[in-house]
Amino acid sequence: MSELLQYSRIKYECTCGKFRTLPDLVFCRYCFKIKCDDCSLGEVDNIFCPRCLEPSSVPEARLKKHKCASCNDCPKCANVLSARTENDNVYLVCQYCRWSSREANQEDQENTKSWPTKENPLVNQLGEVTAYMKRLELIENAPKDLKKGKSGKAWTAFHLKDKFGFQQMVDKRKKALAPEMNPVDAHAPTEAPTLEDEIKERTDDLRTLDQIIMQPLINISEPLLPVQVPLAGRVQVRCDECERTLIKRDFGVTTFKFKISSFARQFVPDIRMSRPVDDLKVGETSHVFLSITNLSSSAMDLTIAPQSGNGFIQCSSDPIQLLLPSSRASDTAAPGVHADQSDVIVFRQHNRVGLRLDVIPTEMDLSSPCLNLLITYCQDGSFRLSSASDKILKPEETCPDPILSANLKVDLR
Amino acid sequence: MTETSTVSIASSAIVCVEADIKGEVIIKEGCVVHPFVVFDATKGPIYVGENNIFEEYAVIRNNSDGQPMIIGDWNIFQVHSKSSAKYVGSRNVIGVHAVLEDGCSVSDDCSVGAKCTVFSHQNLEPSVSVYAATNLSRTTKTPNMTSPHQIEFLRKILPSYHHLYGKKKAVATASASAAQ
Ligand SMILES: [Zn+2]
Ligand SMILES: [Zn+2]
Ligand SMILES: [Zn+2]
Ligand SMILES: [Zn+2]
Repeated sequence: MSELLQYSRIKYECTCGKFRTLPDLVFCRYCFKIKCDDCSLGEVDNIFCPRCLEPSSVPEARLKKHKCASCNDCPKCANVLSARTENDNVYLVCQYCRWSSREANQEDQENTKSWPTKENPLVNQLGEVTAYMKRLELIENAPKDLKKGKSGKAWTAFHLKDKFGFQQMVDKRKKALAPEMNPVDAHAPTEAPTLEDEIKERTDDLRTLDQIIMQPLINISEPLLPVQVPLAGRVQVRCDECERTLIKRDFGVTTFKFKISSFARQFVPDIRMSRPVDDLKVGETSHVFLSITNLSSSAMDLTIAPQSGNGFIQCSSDPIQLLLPSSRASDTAAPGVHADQSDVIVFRQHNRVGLRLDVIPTEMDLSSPCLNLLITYCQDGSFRLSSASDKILKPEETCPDPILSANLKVDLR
Repeated sequence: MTETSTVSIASSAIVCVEADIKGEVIIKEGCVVHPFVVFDATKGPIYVGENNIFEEYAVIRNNSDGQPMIIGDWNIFQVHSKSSAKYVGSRNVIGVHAVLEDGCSVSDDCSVGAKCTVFSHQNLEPSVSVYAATNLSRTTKTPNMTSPHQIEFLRKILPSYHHLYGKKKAVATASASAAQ
């Protein structure tokens, strides 16, 4: 989609200095700052199976090892496996490559749930070792905790929710106040298989890297098993400064609606290239056509100043000031310069303006021509009003919104 | 009608009138040919067995010089598949947008996955499955599910919504024989 709308060609500068495309940016109305994925906080708010869309709670997902119990993928081609019934039992078949669970020498099952998977043969030993390491950790940390005055009482209601398994840790700590130390036996070394052994044991079909990655525990001598579908997480976004939620989807994984959405598009002018740039020639003037749309709910005062130098293409156009009406008031005639009175403004259409900028490339620009624009914009104040709707504003507080500015990189290739 | 453009369709076969049939083509009992299927037998005859399904926009083209192209029984040629194979056996599934190149051959119980290609030098052994973007192939134990219900349903439902090739041809041949 972003390729189709050519969003990827124009990068906006985030508050943190990184350049991102407009759909990747969010806006915090309270801090009045643009935020990107690097300077906002992501938080998993829902875990679900991408195939059957069944949601799982966090402990449930941990119990299931973050895999769906009822959905399986083909180990050969990673397509969905479907169940075929025969004599009241089911087996799994890939409709695409015709792999079936019978090829893996699997007995037919009564239902599609909990298809057998390969477990790590060393799982018990691993558990013992981790438990031992935890006990060691406790003993090592005990004097430090005492010094700090932390005595295990400082747990809050936050931990009782057990979202991150803290409760278990607390219980374990309490239990392990006097941990006993039984060193675990070292894992006895086994002979490394020789190349001849591996070739002897190998079945005829060679596996692709993808197939091995899907089931890393299965040896080359064993048949591939149905792959349990890994669960997916849905992320909600918070501002890293004020911790307010910026993006939150509606309850339920099947919906695409948002409960809270504060995308940068709703605030920042949406600037796109309206026409591809002709072939650039050194020393000759070329035109760059931009369309600027105000998608916010209030009128916008916008100045676009082309920046030259520093490795960016030379632009001969003067800075231009525009007053863009809001998308809601789009049927009222737009104030400001009319299209026929300016060289720069190509068209004016409700809340959208078309611009033509002249660029003169030099030899250096031709390999990666990039136009740098400095945009300075300001809303008429209704934006701040709407953000503060939870408290009553005094008349003197209804000031215009702060002026924001951002650098833009336009890729002219 | 000239000798080289003889189309023979069995009485129980359902061939939609939008199908484009050129040259010597024989379609036997129980076949279902959806609209916009192309049979191009201008370079050599095409003999189709019983109970095959040809889905929309499937192209069956004989590119050999006069060699007959033979298709067995109970095959499914899915939407937009292209076949110039000299021989296709029985109970095969040729997937969506799959291509059987000139001169290749497919035996029985094979499946060619969506968008896969069987190259012209290839002769598929029985029960071979061709899959993935790189046209991997292997022998499979899982049979194709060519259920008779699907073709029965199609034979029943298609005539209610489409004009049939056989009907139009019958009228044409009747008037032709009357003129003789
Ligand atoms: Zn950022
Ligand atoms: Zn699932
Ligand atoms: Zn498969
Ligand atoms: Zn904030």
